[in-house]
Amino acid sequence: MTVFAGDQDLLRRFRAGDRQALSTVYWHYVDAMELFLRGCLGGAQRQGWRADAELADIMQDVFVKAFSERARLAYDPAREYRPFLMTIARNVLVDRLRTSAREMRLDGAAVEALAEAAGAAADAPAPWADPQTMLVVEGYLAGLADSERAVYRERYERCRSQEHTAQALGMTRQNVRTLENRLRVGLSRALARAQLARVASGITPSRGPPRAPESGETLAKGSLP
Amino acid sequence: MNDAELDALLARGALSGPTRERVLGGVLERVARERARPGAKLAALLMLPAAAAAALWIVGAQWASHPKPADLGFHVRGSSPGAVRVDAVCTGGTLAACPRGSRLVFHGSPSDGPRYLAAFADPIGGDAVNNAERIWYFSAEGETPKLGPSAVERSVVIGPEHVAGRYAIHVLVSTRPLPRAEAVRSEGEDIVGRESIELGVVP
Repeated sequence: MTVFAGDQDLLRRFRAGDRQALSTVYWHYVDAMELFLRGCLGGAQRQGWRADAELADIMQDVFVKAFSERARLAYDPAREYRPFLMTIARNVLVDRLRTSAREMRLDGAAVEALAEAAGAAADAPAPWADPQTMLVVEGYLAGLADSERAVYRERYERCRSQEHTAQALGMTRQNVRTLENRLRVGLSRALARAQLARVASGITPSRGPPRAPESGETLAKGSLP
Repeated sequence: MNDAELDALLARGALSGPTRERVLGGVLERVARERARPGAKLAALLMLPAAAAAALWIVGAQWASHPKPADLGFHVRGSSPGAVRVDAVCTGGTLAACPRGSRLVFHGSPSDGPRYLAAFADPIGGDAVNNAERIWYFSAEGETPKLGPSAVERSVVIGPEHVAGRYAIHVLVSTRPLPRAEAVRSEGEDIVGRESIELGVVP
């Protein structure tokens, strides 16, 4: 059922571009959008950090288009919103593929050079494809306290918003933020300990350590020329 | 590992709640900017005659006191005909307070010929960035996004190399990929556009 069904006020605020209304619509359709984009990109995309970063980028582009004034006013409330949104997503994907194809054609040599220089690191398999890393993650998650586990389920399994998580668990948003940070710090420490143990036992990881895909990191730390 | 990477790992590759929030933050910021544009354009039109007169007066006064301006710096927007406009958006917050782990998205407007982007961040004084170094995003030594007939977007992660504090992001648009040394000098006919964007990085 469309998010606007029986809620004329939400529709009115959405059309006016109210932030809260846009957020409500976003959270209503974000699951379906991720599923749709993954389905479309699955075969063609590389796997790894870069593929996931691209997914987030594309999702952002889709919602920016869908929430533009033109699209908000073009939506016919007599119809379902989801097909309208998915049509926008399809158009964004087609535009993106066309652009990348054109860039490849016009600048093939530069792209090849780039691929040689940075491609290997950026296309490294994501760590959730690495059994050793995932063993560490699973072990860490198994030892979570109840409150941490509850936040984990809402934020990382159900992928809910901070606000929704706070409401569902009867916590303040500050509590959720604190527990979320604790999860990250705990996992970071568990990974570091596992890495140390591997080094100490002389086991080399089957894959390189996870790296961020972006040039901001791969090219970062530059010095004055 | 930064927060975004840890979030991805905790969610086993799915877009976690925190990641979705970062995406939503970027969406709302870009939508808000689009809404602001028509008003800004109208205001610019209304103010044009006064602004032009003021600019002529300032330029004249500066020319009189400094007959040979050695360096126009990075503050000139659209400094030559056909200049390409580049904007930046922080996906996890605002440009004034961009959390580490967010993405900085550079948006280049369409250009009438092939153009290349160079960008780097210089820390702006203060105790918080005492030990910060220059950070390179795009240059001929690495990646130089190519601008063409369509708008182009490229994002970089605000990673751990970004010490919390203020940065001046220098963006250059040129007719050929610029090596770092030339981008820093910011001189030459190949450079057709410059932007300076202030960024505040928060933990």
